Amino acid sequence: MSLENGFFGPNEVLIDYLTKLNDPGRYPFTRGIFPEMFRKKNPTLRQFAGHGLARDTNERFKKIIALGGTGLSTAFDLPTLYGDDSDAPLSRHEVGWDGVAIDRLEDMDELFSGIPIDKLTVSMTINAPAAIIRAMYNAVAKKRGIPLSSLRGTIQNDIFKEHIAQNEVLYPLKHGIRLAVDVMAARSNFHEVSVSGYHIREAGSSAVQEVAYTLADGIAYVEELLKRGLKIEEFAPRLSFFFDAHNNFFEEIAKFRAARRLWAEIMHKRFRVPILENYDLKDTKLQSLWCRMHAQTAGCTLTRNQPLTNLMRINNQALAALLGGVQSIHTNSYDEVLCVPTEKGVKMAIRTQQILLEETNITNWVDPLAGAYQIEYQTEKIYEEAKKEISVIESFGGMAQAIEELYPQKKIHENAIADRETFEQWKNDPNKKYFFEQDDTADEDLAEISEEVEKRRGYESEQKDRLSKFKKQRYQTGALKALDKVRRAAEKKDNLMPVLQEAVESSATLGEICGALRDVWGSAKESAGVSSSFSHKKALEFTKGYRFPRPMRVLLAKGGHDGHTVGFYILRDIFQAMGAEVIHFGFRTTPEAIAKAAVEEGVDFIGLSALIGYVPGFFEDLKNSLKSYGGSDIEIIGGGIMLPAHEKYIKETLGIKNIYVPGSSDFDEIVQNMKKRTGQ
Amino acid sequence: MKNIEMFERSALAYMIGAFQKYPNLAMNIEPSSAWVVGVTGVTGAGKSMLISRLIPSFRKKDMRVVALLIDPSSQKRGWAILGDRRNLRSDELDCDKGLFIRSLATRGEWSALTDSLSKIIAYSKLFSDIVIVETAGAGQTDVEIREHVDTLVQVIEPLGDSLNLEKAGQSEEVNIFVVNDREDFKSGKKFFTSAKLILGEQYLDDGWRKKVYLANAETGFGVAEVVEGLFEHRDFLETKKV
Repeated sequence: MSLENGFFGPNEVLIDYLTKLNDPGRYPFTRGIFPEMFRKKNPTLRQFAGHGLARDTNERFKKIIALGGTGLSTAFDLPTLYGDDSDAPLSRHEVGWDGVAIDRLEDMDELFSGIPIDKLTVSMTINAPAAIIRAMYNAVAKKRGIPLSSLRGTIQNDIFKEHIAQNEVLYPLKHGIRLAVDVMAARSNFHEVSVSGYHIREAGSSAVQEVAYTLADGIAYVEELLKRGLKIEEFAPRLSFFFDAHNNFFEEIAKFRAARRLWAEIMHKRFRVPILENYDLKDTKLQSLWCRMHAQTAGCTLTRNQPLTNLMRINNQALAALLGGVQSIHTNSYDEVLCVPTEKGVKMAIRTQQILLEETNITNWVDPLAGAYQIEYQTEKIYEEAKKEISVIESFGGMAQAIEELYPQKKIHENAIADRETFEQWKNDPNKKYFFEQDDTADEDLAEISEEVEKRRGYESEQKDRLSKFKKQRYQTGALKALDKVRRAAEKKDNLMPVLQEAVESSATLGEICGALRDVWGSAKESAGVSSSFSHKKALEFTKGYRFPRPMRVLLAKGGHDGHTVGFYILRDIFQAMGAEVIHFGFRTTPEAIAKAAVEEGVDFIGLSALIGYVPGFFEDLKNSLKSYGGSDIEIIGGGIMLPAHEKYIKETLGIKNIYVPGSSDFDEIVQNMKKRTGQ
Repeated sequence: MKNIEMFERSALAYMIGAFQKYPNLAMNIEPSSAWVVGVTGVTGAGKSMLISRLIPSFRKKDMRVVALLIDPSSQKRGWAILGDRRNLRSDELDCDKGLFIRSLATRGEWSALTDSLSKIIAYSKLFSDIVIVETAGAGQTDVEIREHVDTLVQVIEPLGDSLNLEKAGQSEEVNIFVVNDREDFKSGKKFFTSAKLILGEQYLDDGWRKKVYLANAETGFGVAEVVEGLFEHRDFLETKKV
């Protein structure tokens, strides 16, 4: 009857089949972009992998292929994602940690050594420096005599969502857009962009915001490419999209369906792509209407205390993606909330997909939930609301302008803090106690994980040694000249790709090339913050009106390259609500810079979030730096993804008591500890 | 290069906190010849960006720099987000031991801070060659900051009619104007030309003829000229003393 009763009927849901659904493979593609969907081809089993040096990831790639992976997906380490070499000061404790370390062409070559890159599709998750990595990939193919047209795969290269949500940015937005679009403008068989909602959702957006901002990003790319004089069917078939597969089961299925319909309508109505009666799957006009999508299960939903229970969450999410008709799926590893996935974790993730694909018979049916009142109601709802939100973005003049005004960033922050509040209440419900309960049997698994993590600590020095040898032995003048050429090209308007490829072939490193571009374009401006009156209100609810008895001073910083800011901003709002003077020191900071600032600012607390990397290393360095600046009395509050053993080390050996870990602690704990600390 | 040593750094950090907490705290502070420059202008005018460009220029001359960044606190709840320091960050400045930066919240009325500000500045002068004070706001604040600084700079956005500059009382006491020539303000040059014609003709009581510059702190365009102008004013003050 209605939403309150938990079911819908024909009175609420009018299904106009031809305009809203239509058969699979028919405009507006709500039921799928292909007529036969998985009956003809299973979704690609694409597992994201990368750690250590190129040779370690290469080994992992070969294992994934042996386990039944049908495509590769590369995770780069944080320094690479930020266009820094492994020897940069900010790269400390991060080299090879959560992805593979790539500094130069030879690393890239080694990464794909013995892998038939002309036969397999390869996905690369990298954004701000995507152009340089893409140039390296082409250079590897050239070296092997492989024609560039046989390279297939996807490079994420989505700079908008970085500015909106993930903050892996290098240059001011307009230069970032130019670099990304230079990559997209290539005539290749590669998906040169994967317009991503995943990171937007993981940063705390709603499903509607995820669809709306992703498609608005897509619109902005299409417009940029049209400005370059390209015809729509020359590039639109190669646009691909990437969404999150979250917990809210039916809403997620509806989300994939709604996004497909909305994108097809945008391409048809706004960009005038015709709907041809007589169609053939190879027709680029038809393909231009498709919202091809990759889905990944939601990392932010995983628990840390009972890692094995994550297997069920991951399965549910993958099932939603499958029922939603996506083209490829990455299932998370159950242990990734503790550290970068171990081999066992990856294996279980692959098995999860294989079980769904091979044992359930689901793939025999195309869009099996179509026509269900409830699914159609939710699909329609997401479609309508996302459409409305896109028109808000349009009213700013498009996504680039909306980002400059911090609009999507603020909306996501508001949703994130509200969600967090709901969640902290949710898990206090006696029925939900299971979620945080500590699982003793996990110890055995932990021992294995710890062993693998220990290995990672050795990557940094090895990669740095290799790099410094390389820098000494290469033909210096050639590298310097190529970098100069990059600078000159950056000042002009021509496509940068040829010059970038020349630079990597002249043995300039990733960090040097990104630096050369920075010389001309400057660095990205960090946004001033995303708080709003709504988030203040929510923060006051969190703190239940508690206020510090005197003006406390707190310095908040993120250590290393990592740009995940959800917790950072929520914490900022919470401290603010307690009446603190918050020094927003910002992201991408070194422990020494934090220590110096904290001493000068005379703060009571430092809040340091070091999410990824060898986390105890950041805190140890900060302690030492504080000592050398005479600030040992300043208390540290920390957060990061770490193993229980590392948590223990930070708490007991380093004496930092307030450590918060995603998936097992909450903000209420911080408030309670602050009260205690100030004697209340 | 001259540094602010570890003990000086912690003493300064501690005393600034003490002066702010106890405005009546009496202390005999030795006079110092360090130069005090105030930078004012409305929120978002580009003050911190300009300061981030000025600091390296002074550091290159081996001058030790103390930067005091003042931001208002919330009147109602007391909190403050002090974000200006972030704008001064760079690889070059982050760990520069010849530089000391402190963010100050007004903790209520601006005048609450002014009581301690003269002591904070006087104490900062002991460890530095130049003290830069950044204040937000307009009107009253500028008049109050005037008595604490040797040279007063105002950053202005090229918005609205430049004739309005004349009416605004805020510009009366300013030595140097910097028109922020950001890319998103299309009228930068036009505005600058008329601002120069209006303000550049004015003299202060001590005989200083106001200077007007066009600069873009993001790209660094025009900053060298601003620095030159600052030193000209310092020299002007020196000759006055003699």
